[in-house]
Amino acid sequence: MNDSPWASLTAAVVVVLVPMLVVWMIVVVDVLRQPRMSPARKALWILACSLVWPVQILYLLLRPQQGRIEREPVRTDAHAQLVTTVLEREAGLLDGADYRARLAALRPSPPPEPIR
Amino acid sequence: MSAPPRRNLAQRLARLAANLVYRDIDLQRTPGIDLDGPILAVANHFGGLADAVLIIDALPRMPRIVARDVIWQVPVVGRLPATIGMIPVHRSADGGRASNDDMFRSAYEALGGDELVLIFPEGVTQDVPHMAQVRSGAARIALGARASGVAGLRILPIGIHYEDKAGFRTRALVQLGEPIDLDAWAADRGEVAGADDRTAVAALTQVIDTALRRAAPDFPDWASAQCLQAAAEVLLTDVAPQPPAAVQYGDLEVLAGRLNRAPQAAREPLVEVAGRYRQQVRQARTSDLRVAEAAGLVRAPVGGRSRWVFDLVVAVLLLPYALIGALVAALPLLAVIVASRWRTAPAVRATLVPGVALLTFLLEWGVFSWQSLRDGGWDTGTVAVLLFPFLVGSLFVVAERATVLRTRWRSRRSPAGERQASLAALRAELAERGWAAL
Repeated sequence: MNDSPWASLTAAVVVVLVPMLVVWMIVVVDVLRQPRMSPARKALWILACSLVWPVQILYLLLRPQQGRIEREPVRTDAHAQLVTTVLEREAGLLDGADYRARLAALRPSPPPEPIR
Repeated sequence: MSAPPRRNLAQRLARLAANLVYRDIDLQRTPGIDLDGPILAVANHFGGLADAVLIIDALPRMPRIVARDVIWQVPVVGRLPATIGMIPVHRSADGGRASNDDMFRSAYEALGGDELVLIFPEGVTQDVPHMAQVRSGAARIALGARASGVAGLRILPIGIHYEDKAGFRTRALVQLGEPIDLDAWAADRGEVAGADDRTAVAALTQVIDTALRRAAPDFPDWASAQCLQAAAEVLLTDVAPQPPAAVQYGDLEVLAGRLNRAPQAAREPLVEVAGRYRQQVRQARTSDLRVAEAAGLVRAPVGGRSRWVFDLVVAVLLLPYALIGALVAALPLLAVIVASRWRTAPAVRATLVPGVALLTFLLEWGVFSWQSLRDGGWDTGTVAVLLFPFLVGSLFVVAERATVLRTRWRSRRSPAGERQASLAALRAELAERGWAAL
């Protein structure tokens, strides 16, 4: 086994420092994404988490709570459009004619030639 | 209104459990849904504790959960419900003879304070893909609360769907239905008395039943559910000329539910064709996406090859941490695997898995951190506290990427020749029937 200081340092960097940096980045991104936190407060949390690492634990314990409904971004892809159309129809927000029109717009007419 | 600290802590723990147990939790709701003010949430009850955990994770507020009083009688665990503001309901089926006046009073008070009250109106958990009969409790609470002066009350139907309710790191969907405005409903009916108005209770129970069945899974059997999911996948693939590599579970379930509500004359042949198509796709060891691609209906998925490489690189980079994670979290993982395979009803396992996962992972996290603190001082202790979730997360990421890569590898074959022609023809028939039934 190689007991050189370089080997110990490499092990420390790989096993401890890299993951700690990743955790720090996750915390910073989480702070920046908080919708109801003022910019000054965000700056203070980031500064504190960067200078005193245990503060990250404090932040993770105290971070504002959000339900999935608040934190999930609204999707706009084709699948989401189809699902939203169906949900709106089921909720009675679309009448039969509007619903059929929306489905027709979403459904590709059979392509005259295959896409290559 | 902010919840008391203990309920706040319970909410955080439930959200932690939801993210620990499920790989993907989709949330579907009609756009612009408003969840302020007094709300009585009604949900299907397929998964025991897992249902409550998923609902708490989805909603912006911690609900006051109405639950059977037998939970209060369980040693140790029985102290928890009162601490987090749950409301006990006494059922004669459980051998109780106590009155439910206190339950109604607590629910009215909570709704009067603009809180969110959650009830599972079927009253039982079950292991079939459709709901049991909705009982009158939710309607009685709603009408009683309105009669006691609660204005603006809405009833929110919530459907909980599971890919595998007893599994670990599987997928789930929380579907919020369209809220029922109780004041508007009562205005339409004319004068409505309180919880004692039997006609109004029966009528509102019927409205709740219909709304909840729209949000929740309500398939006649598991085979139909799988066939309709296959049909839904075809329709989703059709609408995206360059589809993503995988369809979201929530999208599949919403469309499958809609197809399931088609008239019987449209649904039955659809299920039959979807069943044949699903079987042939599996026999050909391919996927719907491959069939559509080979038929020239769609292009290769977005970032197809680069996605493979990305997944592979991530898995390789995180592998050392995943191995350490497997070592430090071996005991909790073993406990959860045993719980998820325990020979008991799936609904019971759906209660065991989130409970065991939360308890054992938290315990292991605490022990790991305490040992590091004791042996290495504050610096090492801090590193251990932050490192444990990273290592466990790495383990999950690597295991899940490996599964995705294996699935893609297995269904990599593009069908050709006669088999492709047969699959493409069956797919076209399925798509035609699916769009007509939608």
